[in-house]
Amino acid sequence: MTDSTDNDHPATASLLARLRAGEEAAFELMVRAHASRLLGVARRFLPSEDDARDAVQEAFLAAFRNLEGFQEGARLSTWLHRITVNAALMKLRSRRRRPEEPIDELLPQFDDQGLSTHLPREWIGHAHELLEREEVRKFVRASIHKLPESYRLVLLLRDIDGWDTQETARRLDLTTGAVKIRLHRARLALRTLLAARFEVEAS
Amino acid sequence: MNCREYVEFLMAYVNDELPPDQADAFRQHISDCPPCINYLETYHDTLELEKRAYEEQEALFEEAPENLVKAILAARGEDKA
Ligand SMILES: [Zn+2]
Repeated sequence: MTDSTDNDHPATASLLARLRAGEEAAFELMVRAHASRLLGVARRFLPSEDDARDAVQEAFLAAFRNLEGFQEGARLSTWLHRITVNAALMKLRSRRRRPEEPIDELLPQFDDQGLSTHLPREWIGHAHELLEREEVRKFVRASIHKLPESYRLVLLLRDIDGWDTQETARRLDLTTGAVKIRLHRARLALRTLLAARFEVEAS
Repeated sequence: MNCREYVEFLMAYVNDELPPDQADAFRQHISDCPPCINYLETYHDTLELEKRAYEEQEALFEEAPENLVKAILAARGEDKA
């Protein structure tokens, strides 16, 4: 998350100066301060732990090679986050793509009159109640993983990483209109997957 | 507006992007369609669930895994060479 708590310690400016001077200890400090959080970011995109670790490693090396690209005043954590997402996306892209599952059957279905063929019911609890159980988080993550990749990526970038429509479009090579449509469908499809577990029994 | 159109406009409504007359039609539809009220509520629940689904997982890893740190430092050594 781009606006998450700042762990750019110690003062970014002096760390940056030491990094630019090529100081080994500064590099290690940066790695230790950020690696775990960035691993969490990479895992969202890459189900394989080895791939996630590779992406984090590549991100740190890329960051180091491109220190000049870091804008003074920006947060080191935000900058590293973006580089890690890019590394993870690159890794995904390098994987041989299987033909993608269609998302259609996860979208709400309607009859000729535009009426839902399955009438949505209430859920057994509100989100904040459901979230009290850790297994719910796990189930939600697994459900996100079931979304077809092109939808999952848009959902992760927009809703979880907090990228805006333009940035997401640029990075995924899509039009902004396509990003909006995919985000809409991805959310509906995710709702369908969650409803299968959380909807109350029909009375 | 019917239920299909309602779902189609849902995200735009939530983002406050619907023109006033469509937003009115949207509210009009929920006022007498209980299933669509349920749909809107659980859509909001979905957003909250997905946004918070990764919180715990990240909190678990406050300290960087040592073998990952070592691998990165080693790779950096090779990268420079
Ligand atoms: Zn309806």
